Amino acid sequence: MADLHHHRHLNEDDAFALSFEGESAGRRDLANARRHLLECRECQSRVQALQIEARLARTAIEALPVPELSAQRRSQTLAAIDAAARPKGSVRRLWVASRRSLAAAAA
Amino acid sequence: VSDIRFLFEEYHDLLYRYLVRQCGDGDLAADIAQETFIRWVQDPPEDHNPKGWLFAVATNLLRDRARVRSRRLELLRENDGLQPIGDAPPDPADLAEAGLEVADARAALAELSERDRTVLLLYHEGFSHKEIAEAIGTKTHSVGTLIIRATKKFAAHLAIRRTAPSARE
Repeated sequence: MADLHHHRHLNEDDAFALSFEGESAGRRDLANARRHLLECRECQSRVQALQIEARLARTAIEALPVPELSAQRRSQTLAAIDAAARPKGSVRRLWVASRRSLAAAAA
Repeated sequence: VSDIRFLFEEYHDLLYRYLVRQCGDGDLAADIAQETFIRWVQDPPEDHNPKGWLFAVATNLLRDRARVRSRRLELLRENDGLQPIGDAPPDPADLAEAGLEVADARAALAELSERDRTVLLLYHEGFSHKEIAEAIGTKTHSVGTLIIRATKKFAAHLAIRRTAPSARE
């Protein structure tokens, strides 16, 4: 009875933790799953297949080209965000203030 | 403004790369990333992890754009002879130039459901399970299973395309 968990195949969560994240999963409850994996060829193949699929997916995704954002597009984005962050009416107030100071300077 | 600048520096490039991988279109990705930050400024969320919020909103915006695009294409099919305006689908010749492997990866991603694609891309952007759960609106403990399933489907679609050239047509 005490060894029953040794004979239980890995569930998807454990298979994930052992295939994708290995030791970095940092889960204390993986000890039984690790012990089971040492003894079970079926689970070893499952984990191995998952690791191959994960590597294939990572390579394919990382190979997707990402065009570099031009400096111009980046500053346009920042300007649009800054404009949206300004309190409503502040642009109008700034404009009125600048007109007044220009008028005062002219007088 | 300083908060949003900090968020921008911290997450903009990550968000842009994720969006490019989602849609394969740099201009569209830049537009959506901008719109996402503007949404944050206009209506900042309360008690929400900024990273999860930004990626969730960007994914929703992208979905809305895709809906509009597909409706537009439907209308074009109904009104044969009209040309699409903007946001044209990627040219197959460009895809060929970019290399078959990239074309295969894009096609395999496109075969996934939006949820699977999002989970897979966020995982490969280094998101934790908790962050993925927040971004897609699910429980943290389900994320491992979702990643496994998305990975298996993606790998299967890739394998089909690589082993059967007819699948590329």
